[in-house]
Amino acid sequence: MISAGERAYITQCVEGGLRGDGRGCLDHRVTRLDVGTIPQANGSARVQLGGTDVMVGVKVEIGAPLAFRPDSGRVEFNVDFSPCGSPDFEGKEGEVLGADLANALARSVVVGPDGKAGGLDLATLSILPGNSCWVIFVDALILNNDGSLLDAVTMAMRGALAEIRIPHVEITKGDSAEVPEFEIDNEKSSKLDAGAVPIIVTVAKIGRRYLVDLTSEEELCSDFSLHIAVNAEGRVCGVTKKGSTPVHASVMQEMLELAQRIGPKVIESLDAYIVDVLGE
Amino acid sequence: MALLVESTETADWLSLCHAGLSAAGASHLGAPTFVCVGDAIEIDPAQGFLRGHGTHVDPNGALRASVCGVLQRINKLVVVRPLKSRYIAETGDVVVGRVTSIAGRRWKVDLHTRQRAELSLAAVILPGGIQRRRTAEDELNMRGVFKEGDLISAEVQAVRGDGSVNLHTRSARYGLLGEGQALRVVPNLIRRQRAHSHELGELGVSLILGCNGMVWVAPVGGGEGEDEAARRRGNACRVANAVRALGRLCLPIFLGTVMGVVGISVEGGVAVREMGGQAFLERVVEWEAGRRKEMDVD
Repeated sequence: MISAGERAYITQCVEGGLRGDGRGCLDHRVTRLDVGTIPQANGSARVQLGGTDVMVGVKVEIGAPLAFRPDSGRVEFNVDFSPCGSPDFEGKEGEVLGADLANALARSVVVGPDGKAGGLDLATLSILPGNSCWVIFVDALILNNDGSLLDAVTMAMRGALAEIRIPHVEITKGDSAEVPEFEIDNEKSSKLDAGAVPIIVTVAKIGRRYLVDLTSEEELCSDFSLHIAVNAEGRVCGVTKKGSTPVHASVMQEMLELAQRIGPKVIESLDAYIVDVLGE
Repeated sequence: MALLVESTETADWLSLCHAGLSAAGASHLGAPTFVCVGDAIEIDPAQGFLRGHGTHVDPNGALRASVCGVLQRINKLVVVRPLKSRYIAETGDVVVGRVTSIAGRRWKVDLHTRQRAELSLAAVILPGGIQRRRTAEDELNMRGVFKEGDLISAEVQAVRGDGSVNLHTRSARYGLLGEGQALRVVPNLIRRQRAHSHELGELGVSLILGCNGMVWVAPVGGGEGEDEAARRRGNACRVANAVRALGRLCLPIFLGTVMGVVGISVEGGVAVREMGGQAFLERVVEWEAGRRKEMDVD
């Protein structure tokens, strides 16, 4: 909740190019990233973006491919809100919010209708077409919300995916010819190529100015925001709009271009840090 | 501007603060006794003791702390005040809170306490300012006074036995807060003082340090043109970041420290956005160490 006075103050500040914590309109907060926080997961990361605190764990398991895409792997998203974070996250409310975010992620980040758009080449995750494939489960836990959740989740996801190694699989014919058997060789694993996975840059408009990395108060001030998934080359991979206010096409165009400029820089800084931490 | 990425361990401000203060040889003001969960608390067997909050008696009859905090002895009563906790209201505290709902003849106010606080219709000044019976009409017009989402400053009138808090705004000092920003710090950092609302004249900023850890910073005045208004908003952001810096370092927050931090940021020509950075925080610790040494001399 926000009062009319706070809204007026934020709007005036932003018009003057200043934000409540002294940032400029296009500045990010300091990002804290830890990779490998959950030992049980195949890949994990925690991101703190100001007050926003997000944890992502990635599991890789063998499962069945989708019927209409038998020669590809799958990626499943799940977002949970910790009820400790805010009373708003308790019970059904948190589940609904989580499903919203998971949908936005699934739409924007990985899978296009043909299974090739987005960042991951799902064909490489296939083991035996029509029978089995690798399934990547991306589970995000929101520990605290201070705005720009999707941005933080995708940053953490990038860290977690960088850690993932896909084990080598040897297919042997089992006793019966119908059911194949797998030998999983964890020694001979290959790195998952997640370099092309986009991150989401949330761009909002307050007054006449565009803002990135909003705090929760600023989110309440803006009529609408766009979650724009951008990859390292600055290509737009998906857009989700939040808020019911209609957007003029030219405004949307400007927001997209802004995200295209900022996204690659964010990915560059993140990757430099991740490579530094993982020592590769 | 490119994104600044660092490890979560970089942000260990508490160690920074501790190291800075110890290196300067500054005392920790009266050196209170800290206890950790499970620490045995020494008691005088001849005198006996009264078990207060934050303590428990183990099966062997020894008194132990059940929270990490500062040990306080008041005659026979032994209390451990936790270092970090939700706000525990005391009568007379000035607080800043947000109206969350209107129920019956009262507003529910979120003070970040364990329970919602209540502001009764009888405890506010109504337009006209006359003390009179509250009518059904007043009850219908409650949203005209405070709406859901509004931030207000108020005083704690009473804390009831079950922990619920009653507020009042029966003074011109309290009431609706207009244009400005609210920020949150750990409530125990706010030092209880004679005055909690301050007008920082030359900065053109008003500051309310709520005992519940909510701090209100707002530009005041106006009518001098857009440049002056922008300067005041900039100053408000500077004051807000000074409070944030103190909060991050777990240093006491009152007018003296806030103005001190604002002072060194202006002196050093530190931009408002740089006030959360390591370099500036180190400078703040240095300043605080100096302040404590001065107090030791006195």
